[in-house]
Amino acid sequence: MRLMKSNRVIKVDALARVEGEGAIYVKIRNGQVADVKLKIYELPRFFEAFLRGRDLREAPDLTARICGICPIAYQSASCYALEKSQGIFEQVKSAPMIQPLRDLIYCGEWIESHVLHMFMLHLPDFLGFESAISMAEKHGPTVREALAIKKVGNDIVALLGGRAVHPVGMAVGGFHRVPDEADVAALLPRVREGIDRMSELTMFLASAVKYPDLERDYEFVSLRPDEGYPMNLGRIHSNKGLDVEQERFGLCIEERHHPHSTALHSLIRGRGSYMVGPLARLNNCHDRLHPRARALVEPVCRAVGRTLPWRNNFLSLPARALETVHALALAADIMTAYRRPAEPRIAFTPRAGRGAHGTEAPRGVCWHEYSVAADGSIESAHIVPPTAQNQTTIEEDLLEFAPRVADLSDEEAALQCEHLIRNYDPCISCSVHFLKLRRTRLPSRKD
Amino acid sequence: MSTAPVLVACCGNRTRGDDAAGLLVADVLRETPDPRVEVADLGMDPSALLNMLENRHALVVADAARWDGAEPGDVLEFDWPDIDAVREARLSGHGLSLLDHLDLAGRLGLLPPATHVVAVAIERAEAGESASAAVVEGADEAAERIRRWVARHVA
Repeated sequence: MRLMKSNRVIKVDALARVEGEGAIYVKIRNGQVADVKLKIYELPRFFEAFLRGRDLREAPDLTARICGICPIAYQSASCYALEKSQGIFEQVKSAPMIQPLRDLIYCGEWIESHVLHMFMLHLPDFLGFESAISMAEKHGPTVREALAIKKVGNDIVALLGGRAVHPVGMAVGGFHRVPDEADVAALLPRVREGIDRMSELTMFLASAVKYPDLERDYEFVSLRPDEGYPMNLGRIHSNKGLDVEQERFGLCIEERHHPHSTALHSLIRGRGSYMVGPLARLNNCHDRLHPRARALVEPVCRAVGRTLPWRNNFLSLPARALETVHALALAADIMTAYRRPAEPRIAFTPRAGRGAHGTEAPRGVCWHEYSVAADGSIESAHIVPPTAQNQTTIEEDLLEFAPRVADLSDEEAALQCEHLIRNYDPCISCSVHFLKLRRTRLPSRKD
Repeated sequence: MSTAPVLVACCGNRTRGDDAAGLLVADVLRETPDPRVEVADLGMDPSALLNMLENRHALVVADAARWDGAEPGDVLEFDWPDIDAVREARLSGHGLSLLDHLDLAGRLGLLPPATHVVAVAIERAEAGESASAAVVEGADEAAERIRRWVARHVA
């Protein structure tokens, strides 16, 4: 058995922006990992309260404020859940072009979110850089290429959402407006070009990176639609037997409050922790990837030395890359077939009702449940974000991983733990981001 | 459509009290538009900045900040890169600050010839709160300082 420093604490006050919220804490006592905590501040609890009494039609734009990087995930989950409450879900699904446009705007979000995470955060870990900033010195062309692909994602979101930041296009019933065919056609060449560029980058990520080994027996939870790769529609499914209608997912999970974190920890009732996100989707549904992405699966598996299913979440990096190729290719197909619909959304008269639905945020299933009063106001809201669902799994990963880094310096051990957490691309503290400036480089007088 | 020579990029979160400071600066600037200036709301995703820099002569970024000795509403302005920020663990894309993105843009050769940073000191950033009166006032001052900087640096 490897010797560890017998008593120590590995701690990262990771996101100590507001009263110490957001931290990693690993305690080693007598050479054994005694405790692991991941402290996450979770904003959705505030929004659940904030939404009560608001008109249901405000929910997509309000919940989008939960996350600045994945607003579409919150908008789409709220729209579908509320469409169910209003009895128009099936009409939205079958209306000309509305469902494809919902998929298209989500493709845009997957592209920009996955690329941001892969190249600004995750790849630097694997290549030994502190961040993309230091990585850009040596790998500038790769980072520029990634930024060009990210821009494609941002522009898709802007095309349908009105703008890339805080998109406002999605509405209960469909969209507030839909683009002209000429505007869609103008963006299509860059999307097609992006497929080729991202395919090359995917093979680079698979072959140029050495992936740490941490295999665990996860329960992978994702949507599983009747056809196609999971994104907006489908039942909720796992590799260990979970197979439920969307509305019943809330009954299948148990959310527990832990004192060290304001985020609720989700567990499958009667079983335990589970994983949502790219690895879960890929393992559950890799046969449904777009053909352009599916063609890369075998060479990627050869390059990383593992066949699917992958049980090592360090491989979430190539999983995201494959999904980005999928999203670009799917977007190109939708844009090629686009015909501007006569009506951007299904009209409805607010009524009392309940509805629940989850969609596949870049980080995993984002599930919403609403109860609506007869006047169309929201009586209650229940939002289960992907990072909260992964929190127990992250802590279990840290418990398994911590002995491997216990002999490293505090700084190096903390960096390795951060690397592991970044596998999950957690949506942490998206709520505050103010700068913390060093006093030593500031003028001594009030400016 | 031609690109405005000056980009003023503002970050913030309107649902978290004083953390909205950068966006309040954007609001003030939009009250008196300048045809030379594009005011961009980056919201909580400063990465959008990296794809907005082409063909710019100057960049100003505005954000909320904390620093030792600052009072809420104080305004600090510096030419980039004469500023330093505490490095925090970047667990999430949300953890890449506006200054991280300036740093990255610089390394990629994307920054325009002149880049300026304007920060408004804040106190509280609690969910559901409005920005404090001091920060609202600070945002007004920050906007005025940006206008003066643009007037000095852009024809």
